[in-house]
Amino acid sequence: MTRSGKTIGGRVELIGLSRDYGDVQAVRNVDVTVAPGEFLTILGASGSGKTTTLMMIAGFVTPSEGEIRINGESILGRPPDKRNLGVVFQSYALFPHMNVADNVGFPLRMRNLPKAEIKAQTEEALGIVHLEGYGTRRIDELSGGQQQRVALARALVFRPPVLLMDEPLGALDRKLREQMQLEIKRIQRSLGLTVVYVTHDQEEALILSDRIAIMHEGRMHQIGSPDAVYERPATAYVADFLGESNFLDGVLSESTGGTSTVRLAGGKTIGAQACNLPVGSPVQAMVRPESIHLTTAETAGPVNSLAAVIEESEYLGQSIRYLAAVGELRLTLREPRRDGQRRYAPGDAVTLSWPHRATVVFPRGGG
Amino acid sequence: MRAAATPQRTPHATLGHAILWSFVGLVCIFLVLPSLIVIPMSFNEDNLMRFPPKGFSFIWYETYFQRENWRSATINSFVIAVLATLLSTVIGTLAAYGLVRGRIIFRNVYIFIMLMPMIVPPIVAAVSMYGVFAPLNLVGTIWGMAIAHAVLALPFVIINVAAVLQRMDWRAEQAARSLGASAIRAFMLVTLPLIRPGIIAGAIFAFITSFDEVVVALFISGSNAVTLPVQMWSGLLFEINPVVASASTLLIVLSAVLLGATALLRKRSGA
Repeated sequence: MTRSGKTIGGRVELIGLSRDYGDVQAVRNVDVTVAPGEFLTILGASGSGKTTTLMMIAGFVTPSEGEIRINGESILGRPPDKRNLGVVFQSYALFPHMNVADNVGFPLRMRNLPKAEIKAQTEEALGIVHLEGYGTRRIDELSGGQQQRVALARALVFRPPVLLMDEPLGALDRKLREQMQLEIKRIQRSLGLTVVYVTHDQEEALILSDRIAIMHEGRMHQIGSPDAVYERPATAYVADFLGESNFLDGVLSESTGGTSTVRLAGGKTIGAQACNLPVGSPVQAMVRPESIHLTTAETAGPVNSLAAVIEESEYLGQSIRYLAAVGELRLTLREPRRDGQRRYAPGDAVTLSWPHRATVVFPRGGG
Repeated sequence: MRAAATPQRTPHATLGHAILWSFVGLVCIFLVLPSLIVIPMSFNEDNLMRFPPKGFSFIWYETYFQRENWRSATINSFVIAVLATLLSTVIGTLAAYGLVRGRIIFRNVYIFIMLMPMIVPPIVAAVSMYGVFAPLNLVGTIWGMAIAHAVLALPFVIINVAAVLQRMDWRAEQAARSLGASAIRAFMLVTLPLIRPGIIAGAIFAFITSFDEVVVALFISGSNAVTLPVQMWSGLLFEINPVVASASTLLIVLSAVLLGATALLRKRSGA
């Protein structure tokens, strides 16, 4: 427990982790390894099992199956108070009958540290979250953002190897949330902490994380860096959940080493990223709205190009969103707003183009 | 937006107020006034319970504090009420914690059993307790009375404590655990302070329940653990003088103070 400098973050391993509630499988066979000092976000809708997973690490939910290791050592047999993990709860869970300093000093008191040591470390932790001099304040005198900082300081003060955070910014307004995201990232980097962070907010996940684990119906659908999960989603669910996407129904007509070709419902074919499905299987081709350009853009490599008619146009400030019709198909696309740029109106004939590599193929039907 | 929040004086609301206030008036006239009549009666000069009182004196208060049987009954009542309060508060708080928090089957059955003393007619409870206490030599003892009253007071503690437990944020206790507190330390340092208003309210109800109770006491108190209500009962039967009125007045004042304290407590904890 050094007073300054980095704590070495711990390695967290979840191995075949499952949790059943009667017939409901809240978490199914989850395997994740979080490297020391890594910021991993478990992203999912409510009911995806993300909080259950976090609570299993914290020790409040007992796994039905599987193993949890910190730095190679199983912690399953230990009660929550013997796991030495920092936990920040959604509602902060501060102790309203104690002042700020007593809240932050609580974990040190539980570890029977001498009074002077508790005082010094409490002040240091309050300094990390920029709340110097707030020690004697009552909890109900603090704003939501300040309460959040106290909760963070309390979870950090005993220098846990791993910090678990359950939607910690959910109750804050947008401005404050963005500010706290930067704070959390700064603290995590400067202390070298391993963080497992749970949220349903995809933007937050993209901003904060080294890697994102997308969870749905108890399963981990994909684990990867923000750009990997966004640009190369592993499943249609991930593509749909993260950002906006266009899904085009078709049949896989060709699949060679680096690329694949999809024949769309109207008979047109488009090129896409490689996939390992058999030729002839029904597929969905996914393309992000911001990948589609309205005029033939100078992009490297092969490009899909389809004649379309603008049906709707919406001015969004930073960008303009169009709805375009290609035969029976409808595609949403988004162009960044530029000065002097042509604004298309409903009824205008245009050409949509996007690179083959911006198209991802998923199996259709069945799952 | 603001205007919607202030109640408007519609004819409907006026009628509602009229009905409410007449009902409150009737309750006062038929329920409260008859009890308060003992207050002027306790200042009577002569030795008859009469209303309106004749003259004004403190003689029956003096009698109350001087007579050995009244004094010992008062002391017994306090001792028994304190013991019953301690027993029922500790047991009731733990029971409420288990009922609200625990993952137990037949939860509703347990709740029903624990709340039984409130539902069973006092005379039935008294007869059955006598049947159990007599062979155990608990009849006529302070502890026998304390246990009997603790049973009667238990539902009030459970209801009050369970109410605050249900409103409490369990995450605070989980946070304490995650920060290194054992289950017992988390309960003592975090849960207990947070549910204290409910425990105190339950304790006050338990005290009043014991202090006011007469039916079970008539059966269990014997001749060695006579409580104030039992003494008043025999006072009414054998010596019809205003000392009973003085005792009643003191009881009314005590109950009012205790209930006032509960109300204050509720207000302060924002419940």
